[in-house]
Amino acid sequence: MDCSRRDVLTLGGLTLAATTLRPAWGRADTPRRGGTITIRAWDPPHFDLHGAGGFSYKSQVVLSFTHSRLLRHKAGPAVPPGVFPIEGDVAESWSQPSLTTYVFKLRRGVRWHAKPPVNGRELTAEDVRYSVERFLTTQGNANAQMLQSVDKVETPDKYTVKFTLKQPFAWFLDTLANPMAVAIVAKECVDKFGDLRKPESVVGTGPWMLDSYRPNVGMTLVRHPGYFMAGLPHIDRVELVVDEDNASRLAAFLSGKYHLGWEFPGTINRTDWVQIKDTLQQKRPGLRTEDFPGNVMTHISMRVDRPPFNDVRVRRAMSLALDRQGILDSIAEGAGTPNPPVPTALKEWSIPMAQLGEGGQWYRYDPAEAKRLLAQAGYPNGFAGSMCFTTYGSTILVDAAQLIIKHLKDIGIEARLDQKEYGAYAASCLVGKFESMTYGPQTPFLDPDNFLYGQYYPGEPKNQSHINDPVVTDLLVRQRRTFDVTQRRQLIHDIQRYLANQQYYVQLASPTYTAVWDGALKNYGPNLGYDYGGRLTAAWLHR
Amino acid sequence: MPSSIPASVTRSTIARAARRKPLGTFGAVIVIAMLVMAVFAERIAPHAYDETIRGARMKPPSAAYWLGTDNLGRDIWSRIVYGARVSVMVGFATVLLGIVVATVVGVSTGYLGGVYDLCVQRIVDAWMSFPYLVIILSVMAVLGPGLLNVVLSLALIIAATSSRVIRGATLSVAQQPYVEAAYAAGCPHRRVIVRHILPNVMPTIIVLATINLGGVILAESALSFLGFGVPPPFPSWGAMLSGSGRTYMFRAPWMAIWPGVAISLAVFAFNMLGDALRDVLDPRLRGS
Repeated sequence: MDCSRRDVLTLGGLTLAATTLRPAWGRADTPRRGGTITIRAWDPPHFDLHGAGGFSYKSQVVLSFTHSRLLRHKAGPAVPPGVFPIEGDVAESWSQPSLTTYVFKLRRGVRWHAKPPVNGRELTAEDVRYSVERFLTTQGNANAQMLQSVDKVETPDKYTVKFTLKQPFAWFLDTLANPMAVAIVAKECVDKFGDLRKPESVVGTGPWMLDSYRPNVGMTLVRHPGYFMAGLPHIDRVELVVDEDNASRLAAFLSGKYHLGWEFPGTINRTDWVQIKDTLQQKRPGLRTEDFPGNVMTHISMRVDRPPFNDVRVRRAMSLALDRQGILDSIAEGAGTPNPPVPTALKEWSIPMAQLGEGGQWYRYDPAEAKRLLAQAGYPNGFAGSMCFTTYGSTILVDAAQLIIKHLKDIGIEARLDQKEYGAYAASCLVGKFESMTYGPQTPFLDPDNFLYGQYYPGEPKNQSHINDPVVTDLLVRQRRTFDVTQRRQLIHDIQRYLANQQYYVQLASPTYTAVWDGALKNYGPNLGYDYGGRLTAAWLHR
Repeated sequence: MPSSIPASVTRSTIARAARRKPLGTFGAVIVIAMLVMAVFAERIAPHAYDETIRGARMKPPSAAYWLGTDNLGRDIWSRIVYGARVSVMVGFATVLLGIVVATVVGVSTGYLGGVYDLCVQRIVDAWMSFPYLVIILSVMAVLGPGLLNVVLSLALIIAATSSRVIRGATLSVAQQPYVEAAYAAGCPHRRVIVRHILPNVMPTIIVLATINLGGVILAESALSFLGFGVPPPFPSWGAMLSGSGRTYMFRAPWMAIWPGVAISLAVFAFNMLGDALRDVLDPRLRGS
């Protein structure tokens, strides 16, 4: 075959053109519309984010797909887990004219889902005002304290919302961006349905719309065609599958059913991961993973307002009695991080353990010293008490509780496990109604204020240990009024140093999260928190 | 004529039964072994049930750890020995409570009859119409987890089902000529029941109790499996199976296998023993 110089040049040119101009959809880094993503979820008790029990992750996860907030946390592969930069959601811009005033300008053309009774009308400032007021006044909203600093909300015009606070609150923007706080809801829905507990009342301005709800089976969400971010979301359909059996979830993941790890928040438990990772390499070779510290922190709370826990030596002894690394070895294959009062996972705010100063010594494992402290406190033979507990359906938690009881027993503290059903636990021990001790996980907040103010400020419902320490109270108020981030971080570190020495709660280490997601899922970055919808809005499926 | 059981169950009868009922004998041996384990757990178990042995996490069965260790480094043999205590306590306490209630209800309704029988038996009907697990879980949800509550909820089930059987046996005995003779002789109801009815329904009661024991142990395991049983760290076979036993099924199958074997053996043993006792004590089956 003859091949002239002209032929060669022609062929070369054609090849170059084909390479340059190949269809955009063929590339993995180009957004692609369509597809269905399947995720393990939980059956929500109801759909009212503001209602009693609406703080449940079971509701929050679902509604992160369907509702918007004023602000939100940036998502995507560029955002490292444990960091939460803020960007506008329905707010286009905002300003802070004074320490207690915030003004938000809303995007124009934000449409509600085209479902009755709202029928796709435009979102206005009045909707935001209504949502905030409902959040603050709905009976039983356990998270209402997040916005207790709000004095009034005004709407100077259709696209402007003005917040006036009772006192300066440096975490205000973070709180508005938090998926646990105000989701913007429509008054028409509340008027029509009485509350927002029914699935029909799930009408938001978020990227997906609730298409169907099958109790104890799952939910289907479909793309909101009028979503205010042009071209988003890329994924057409979201299947949320309720699956309460771990063996079933594990099998489903191995077979490729789920796109994200089946545990919260899109992770796989370390014990399961170690068992299946080799199999997964063969069955799902494209899987992506990322390890990062979890912000679900368990702790022992105790009645520090009465003996024996009002003696700091007893609390320190309890902390010294716990072999934190040993517990991690047993329940999480040794992978985890110790926690000061703000979990290590919140990397911008948690103090490194080495910088805890004098208080750092109480986090080591030293049963002999623990016994000595107990004897010094007047309990040479230890004492007996109950430990309120619920399993949350987690064998890991049950194993950890057993080890804690054993470690306490080793220094003479006979803690009897008082196991309760979840509902009874949430209504009593979780809010400080117990006689002796409680062990369990804390709400995985995304900012230090909720961990500290909520748990240490007198009278707060999550102040389980009944702490009333003027030093802590003063520091907690001061950090809320400090807008300079560096100074606030310094204060947060000071608080943690002080608390480490007091041991009002005995914190345990958090197992490492192993986030796992399907290789076909692009532009996805795992992070902490309930905002599954936010993390998937700009992601796409590339098959 | 009314007859008392102990008179007929002599040592030679037991020996003969052992030869003729090898499975029943095997069951009896296992039951006795369980009782010994439960009573002398501290002496038999090489480790305490909550002792975490450093460096012995998930060790397979070996000379050092006969049945291996669990994910917290605890000896599984020791935990099974202590777990027998829960099974035996729940089993016997439940059956005792349930059978006493069932006997009172069954004998009184069968003997007295009339409106009282009609009303009480309709209540029993209603009680039995619910799936037993639904009743148990409802009771446990109200009362909360714990050994005593497990016993109470299971005894309620035993009482309802067994009372129907005991009532049937009472109806049959009450028709016998010697009962009529007792009436004719002027015996009061209480004496008729205590001296004539109860001794003659006793074989039925004993067999019911024995056979129910296996079911109760299984039910206790199921409740522990669902998280309503004995709170940890005290071991229960059901909880051992459902908790970490399932989690580590791939890597340490012995954590699930041995509690499962213990449950199966116990249920099998009580059922075989119950069958054999029925054969020995029931006059119609005697010699078969």
